[in-house]
Amino acid sequence: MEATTKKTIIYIVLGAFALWLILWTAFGPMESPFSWQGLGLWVAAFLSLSILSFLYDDNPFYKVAESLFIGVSAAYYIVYSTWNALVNYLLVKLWPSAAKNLIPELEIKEIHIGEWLWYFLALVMGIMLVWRLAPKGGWISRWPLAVLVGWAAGMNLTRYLVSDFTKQVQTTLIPLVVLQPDGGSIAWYETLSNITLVGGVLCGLIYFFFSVEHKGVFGKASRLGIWIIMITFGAAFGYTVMGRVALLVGRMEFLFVDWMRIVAQ
Amino acid sequence: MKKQVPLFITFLFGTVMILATFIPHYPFKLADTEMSMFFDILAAFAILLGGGNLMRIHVTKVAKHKKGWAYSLITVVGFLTMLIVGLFKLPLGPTSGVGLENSQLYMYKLYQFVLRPLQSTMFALLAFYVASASYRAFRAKNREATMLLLAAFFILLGRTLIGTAITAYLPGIVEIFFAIVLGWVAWDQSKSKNWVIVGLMGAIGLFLLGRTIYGYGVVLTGGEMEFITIPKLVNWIMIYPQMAGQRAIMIGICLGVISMSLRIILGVERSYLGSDTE
Repeated sequence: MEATTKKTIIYIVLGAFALWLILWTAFGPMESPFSWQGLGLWVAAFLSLSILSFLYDDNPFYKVAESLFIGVSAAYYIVYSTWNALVNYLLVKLWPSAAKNLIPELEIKEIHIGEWLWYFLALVMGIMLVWRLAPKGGWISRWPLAVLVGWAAGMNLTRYLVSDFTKQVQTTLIPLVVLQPDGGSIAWYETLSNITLVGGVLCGLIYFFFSVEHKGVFGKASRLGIWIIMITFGAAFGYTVMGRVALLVGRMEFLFVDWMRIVAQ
Repeated sequence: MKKQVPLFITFLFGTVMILATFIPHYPFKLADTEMSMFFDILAAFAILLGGGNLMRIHVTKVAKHKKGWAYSLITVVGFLTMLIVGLFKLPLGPTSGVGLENSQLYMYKLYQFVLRPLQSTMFALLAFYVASASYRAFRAKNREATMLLLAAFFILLGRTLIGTAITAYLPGIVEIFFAIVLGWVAWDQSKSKNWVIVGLMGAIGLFLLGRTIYGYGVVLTGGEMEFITIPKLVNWIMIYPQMAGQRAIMIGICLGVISMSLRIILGVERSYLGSDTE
């Protein structure tokens, strides 16, 4: 199909859709954009359709929505962290009366000078971090960055060691042969399941162990390990597909139920 | 000086955090609570830095009328609008609450009608790309891809109503499916003369087939037989093989995090400090 014919068809479809929207708003149950709630719905619908238009091709509508998304989301997180961390944690310690003016329901506690200095240091470090935006002396931001990195490294080292290593090893050390509650015969289902779990973890670890060449028994275990890992990836993939489809259903529900009201609410 | 001091700070804070885990007494006991607030404050400044940087790039683009400057202008306008209405908590009318979740704030409306639709549609868009990725992944080109395909296929069936429906109307379908798959594997392996695998797969396949036929016999004579259902199979996959793979990955990641943390604390890894020219 020629590019001009393609464009004409798109314009006709868009025009027909716009006309239908006008008629549906005027004579149907659709809310008009001349109230605050209606305007909000129309803006939300326009932005949703603009993002979905990317499925056809990259286009100005998508670019507008994308640019707006970048700006609005960045500012949203700034606002959130300002009120939650800078006002709630910092201002309340350094300048309690100002914090109380901003959030009247805040409970102000007396703090001693050591604590005050500690939070003053946080303020200084924060300013040093933002100093990176200044034309000169960007290296100053390395100090607070070093605090963040050092804190995260120390914290993660012990936290991961406990939760992702010790606990995981502990929960993997389970009996390989499980007997029936009466103690007489072997409970085959539990036994095979436990062998799958323990064997799967060992084979998975062998796959990640590159200090020994993956040959012979080691190679076979490694091969089994990648199969187990593939099952894990498959499960994760299945859940991702379900999650994304659920989000899409949510957006379609918004467009057809909340906005266009084709389906009754 | 420009690098030595930050390296020392990293070492100091990293060591203190490690020691705090082992010494549950003052002053180390405070490290957990006070340091986490300190970290949150610095993280808030880091977000400010990110926003500032974003603005610097886009304002420059607009000022110099570079290609696509109009889109940058939209970013700047969106950013400033949200920032002003959020920082000043501008209300739509008389309001009692002061929290950011208050529905009478302009910020809440901006979130509800601009940010949330944009965010969720952006992620929903991925459903289509996941569909095309599924097509590529679901072409069982080798055994590994087949394992991924089977796991994802059964998860999708088992975690939706269709899985329950299939096994309710077609009891024994899971056993027959696996008997066919194992039979195919045994036949494939027989070409390579791997007789151990052929015997094992064939035996399990025959056992599953025999159990299903026996089960039908029991059901037809009015008895009860417990067939494997897709939701049950999915639960087993999630608890055993999936968990095994996840644990292997988690242990691997953990060892990586520990070694990287040690490298950072001891000053071997310095890339986060940037180049010497700064």
